[in-house]
Amino acid sequence: MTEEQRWRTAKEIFSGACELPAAGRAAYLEKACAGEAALRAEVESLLAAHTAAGEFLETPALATAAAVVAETLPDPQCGKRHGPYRIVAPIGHGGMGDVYDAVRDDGQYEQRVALKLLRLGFDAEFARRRFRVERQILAGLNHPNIARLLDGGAATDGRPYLVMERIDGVPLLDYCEQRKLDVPERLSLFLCVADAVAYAHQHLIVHRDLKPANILVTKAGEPKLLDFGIARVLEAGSDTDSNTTSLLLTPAYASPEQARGDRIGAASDVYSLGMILFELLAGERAYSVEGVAPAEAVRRITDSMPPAPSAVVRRRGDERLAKTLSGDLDNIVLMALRKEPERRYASVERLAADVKRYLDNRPVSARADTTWYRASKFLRRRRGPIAAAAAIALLLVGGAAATLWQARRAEMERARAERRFEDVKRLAAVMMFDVHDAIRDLPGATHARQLLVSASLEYLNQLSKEAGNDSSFRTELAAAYERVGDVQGNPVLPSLGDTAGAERSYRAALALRATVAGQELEKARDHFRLALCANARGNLTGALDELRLAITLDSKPSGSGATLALAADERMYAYLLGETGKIAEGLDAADLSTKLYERVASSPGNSARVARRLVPAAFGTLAFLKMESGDLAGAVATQQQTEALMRREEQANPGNATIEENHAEALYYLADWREKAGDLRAALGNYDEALTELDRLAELDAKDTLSRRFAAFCLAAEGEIRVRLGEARIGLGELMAAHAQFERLAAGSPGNYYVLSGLADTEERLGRVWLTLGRRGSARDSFEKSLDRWRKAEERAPLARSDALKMSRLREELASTSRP
Amino acid sequence: MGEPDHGDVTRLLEEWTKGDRDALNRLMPLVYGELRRMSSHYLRGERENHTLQSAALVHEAYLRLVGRQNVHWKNRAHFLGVAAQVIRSILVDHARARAAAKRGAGAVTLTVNELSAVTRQPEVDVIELDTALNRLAHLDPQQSRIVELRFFAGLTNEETAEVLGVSASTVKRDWTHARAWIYRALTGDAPPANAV
Repeated sequence: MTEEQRWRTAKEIFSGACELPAAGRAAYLEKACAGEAALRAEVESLLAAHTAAGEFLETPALATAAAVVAETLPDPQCGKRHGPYRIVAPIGHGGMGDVYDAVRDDGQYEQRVALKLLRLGFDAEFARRRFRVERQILAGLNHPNIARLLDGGAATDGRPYLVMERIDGVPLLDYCEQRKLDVPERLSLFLCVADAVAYAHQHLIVHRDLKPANILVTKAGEPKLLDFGIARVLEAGSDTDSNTTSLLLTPAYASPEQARGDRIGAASDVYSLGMILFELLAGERAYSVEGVAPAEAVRRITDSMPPAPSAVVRRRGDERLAKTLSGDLDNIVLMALRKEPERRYASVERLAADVKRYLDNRPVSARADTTWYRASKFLRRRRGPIAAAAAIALLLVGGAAATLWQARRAEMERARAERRFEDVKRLAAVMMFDVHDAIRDLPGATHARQLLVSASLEYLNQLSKEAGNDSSFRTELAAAYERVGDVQGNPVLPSLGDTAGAERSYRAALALRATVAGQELEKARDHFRLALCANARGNLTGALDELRLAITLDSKPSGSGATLALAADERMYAYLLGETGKIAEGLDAADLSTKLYERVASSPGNSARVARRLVPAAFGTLAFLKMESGDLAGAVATQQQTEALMRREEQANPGNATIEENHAEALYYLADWREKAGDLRAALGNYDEALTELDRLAELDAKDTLSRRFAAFCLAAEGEIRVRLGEARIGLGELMAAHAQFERLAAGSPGNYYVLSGLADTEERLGRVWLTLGRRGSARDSFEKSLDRWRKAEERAPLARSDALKMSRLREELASTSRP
Repeated sequence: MGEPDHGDVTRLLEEWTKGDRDALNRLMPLVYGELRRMSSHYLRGERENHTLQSAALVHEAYLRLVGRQNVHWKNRAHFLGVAAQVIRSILVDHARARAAAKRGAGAVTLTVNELSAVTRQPEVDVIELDTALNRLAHLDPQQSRIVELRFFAGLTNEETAEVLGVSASTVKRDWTHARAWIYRALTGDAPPANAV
């Protein structure tokens, strides 16, 4: 046998064995190797290697290669000049800027420096402001343990840069490990750091980002604090920056108040120093927030009690070190790490003084925490969640919260404290909404809004448990749930699209209101909201049930407010009756609704203005029901009336997005029905008008899915009409664009009934268009897709009558594609 | 680094396919440069997602080098082959340099092993792997290439099969065998004296 043959044979037997369970391999090998001991040994050795190999080579080396390559890659900044400085090599890449090794070589004198260059892509204005602040602050600091600021300026591309003293050193923890420093040596280093921080505090500067990586120790053993990048002059009124800033922080060393986004002061640095001291002594962090979700990280920082450093060390089995740490050092560290800023060391100096006392074998001031404080933790917990996510809200609530703390100190004033606590709750609830509304329209606010929602809910759920029978508090909480529900997924408001979540919140509100007497209108409004949600999820029966409850409640009180609410109930009721095929009943309800609205509209008072705006909507519903009853001409006539009323309303209130939206919707239906009546040119004109309005609306608000949805409906309709009018190419393009738009919307709001029907409708239109163009195959595909969507929708909930009709129409259309 | 010349790369790939070894030599630095550019972006976290999806990286490099209009199946396969070789040589060179630095004084700031902790790459001695692969290439050239494509370029069995023009099941079988063989070679379990 040649070498190649042996290799091949062994390989084949090996492959065969691999496919067998381990138990069957011996017999197989016996047979396959036919007494050739060497061959069998070879295969068995390979099989053993195969078993032992585990994940060997299974992870591609490319990631490593990329890292290696990047390591050797010259940074594009290298050799570049900023002012009199030339960049030599990158040192590190930080959150906001890149730090470079640079030299000043303008002929005056040569000096090695660290140059911090702002990274592009940040909010330039914000960053520039920060850099300016940083520059001012650092220029005022002159301490042997703080890296000095030398210069600053703007690069040619406009990026600001800072020039700092170049520190040749090793990060604090690495230094201690490398030199195997003992506890007293570590404490001495720590005292130098604390001294520098205390010096900064005397100059009213809080570092805010103290961490071991920001402390380098030079060869001479001198620690140097770097990166006062987010420090802030306490007295300067630059509060606006601080909250945004805190989000950029490394959370591992952040104080609870910082993690929550509270106002922070020198006590925050005391905490961070406590974290550093913990790690210096125990060799690991007090708690880990690495890789956990932000909310959980915040919870750990604000709620979890740090272990004693000695306990951590003991767990590792280092009994000797544990003995050194237990007692005074444990107490010092834990006192610095107390959750409540006012219960930590009053200043960095005090912390340092205690460490010094320990080194001098004198009694320290730190004592173990008392149970009384541990028991009072609940107060802090209540404040936790909402503050965590809504830094801005907390800034506003912060003042009241501080009063709360002070009040708590004096137990005699407990009653007053509780009253204040009520204030905080109410205040927080209100703030949350104001804040939400303020940020709603900011670009990129969706994530913040989601955080706000989840934090608010956590907070409200907690408070609900303690609501008891306090009716004013229950009412307050219910209102809060309603607002949160609106933000989550009110189908007719700009929301985050979480309909199910909204329903839960509305039900929570109802449950809270249930034991409170009166409040019919509020309860009715909850049922109305639930009806909207049910409708949005395609659950028409559920929606009708909710509306009946709302109508009963709204019929009780008198006054134009109640009439107005009842009119709204009736209108929606009418619409849904139409959708479920109860046309006659629906026409009655629609008629009643228009009359109720008109009655309020002609009455004196504020409600009249609102009612006037809704009269056209009621006419719209009436038109819709006429349409459903088969009275196409009547429907178009009423809808023309609707559209005219709305146009007038729009002209009277220029720039009102809601009115423009309603007008666009009216135009859409007018166009739709004219299309159905065969008046294609007029329909096209109305669609065009609607699209113009909708596009403008969508442009105004990137998150406005409602306008985009309607625009897609209009576009699809226009597309089909244009094909029917002979403009096939443009028409097809419009249909495709509409379909793509619906798909984008579906991705953002899966399960939304309107989006789904948009997709199905557009596909049906496409099918018809393909058929017109003689493309039977494509037509069949499109019809099938559309039908399939309805089928799936039907499985979830009974279809609206008009949609059920579409299904039967689609079946016919589908059948027609196979007819010659 | 500017945009690579698409035509140039395509031409070099074609020449290499026709057996021009020199084309490969001119191709390598281009591929290397491109991978370099991309990996630096990846490592600085300038990508939406910080994971290094190796195959995606290589495919992207290919698209950038060859241009989206010129994407031919054959060229792509060849490119992946070149990329695998480039990546292998990058790692081996680096490992050698590191070994040399270790013998001298001076600390190396960033080692492959340190990185391996970050990238969850099981530790592999690249130099030993390279030697073993060279030995394997003598015994079974195809298996050696399979390891190169799977391990260095991060291709799947299917992609590897496409590049080599064999079936995916063949790749799978050969990969299993090669892996066991290399593992044995690297862990020092010498094969029995009279076998192979």
